Amino acid sequence: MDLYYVFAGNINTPSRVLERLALFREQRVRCHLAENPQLSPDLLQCLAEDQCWEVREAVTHNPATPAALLERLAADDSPDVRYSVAECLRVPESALEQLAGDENPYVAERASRTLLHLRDGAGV
Amino acid sequence: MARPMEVLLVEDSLADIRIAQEALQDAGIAANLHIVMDGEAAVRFLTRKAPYTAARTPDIVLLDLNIPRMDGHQVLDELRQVRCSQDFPIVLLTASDNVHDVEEAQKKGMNYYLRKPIEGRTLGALLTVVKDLWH
Repeated sequence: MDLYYVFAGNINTPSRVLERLALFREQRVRCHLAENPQLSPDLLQCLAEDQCWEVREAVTHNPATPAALLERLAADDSPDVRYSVAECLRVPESALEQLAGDENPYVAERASRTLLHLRDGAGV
Repeated sequence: MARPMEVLLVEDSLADIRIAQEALQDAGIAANLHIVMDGEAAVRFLTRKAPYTAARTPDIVLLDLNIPRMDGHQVLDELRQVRCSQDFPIVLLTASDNVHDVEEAQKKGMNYYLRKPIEGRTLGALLTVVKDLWH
């Protein structure tokens, strides 16, 4: 297995090595890195601005991604990234409400379902 | 990094030490191999306690799981407490198929693991990546 990929996803990889991996050319490595729960907020922010939508999407799957960053990704150019945000239960409701009116019907429908789930869960 | 890599091997089996030496030679990477044969000595080496006060910080630690005086898991615990293990990756060496061993070591700070017997090509690839990422 590709060792760069392995170290990118390992929770014990030190932060300075993770920073180097964020600059790695291979998209697959950056995607795996973006899901590493040990990433700092700064590095998550950097990856949330990655040129590849797959990397930005991977940031939405990271449990360490702050809600404010998810909110920003809710306005991403890529419908795949917005769809992924629309699935996420940690996104502020205001961002989900915005996504429920998204121009892409799949994103809008997914956000509506997540909102419904959150409100049901909250006993509303 | 123009200087040779400093490799610390923590291993008590003479046969496995010889295999590691051969693998390092086959890997074709300039390296100084330091060997300690138990867990307590490994911790002393890495924390520069006597008789290892002049020891260099290794570029990588190859840590056998089943070693006397302190096993691989206990060594990882100790190193996590002194927090010196951020400077180098710790690679667990195991002949075991026990997934639990690897998962436990992962929780304790292991960076990677290699199945025994170590092969030159595998070790060479690992050292190349470590040299690239850690230095």
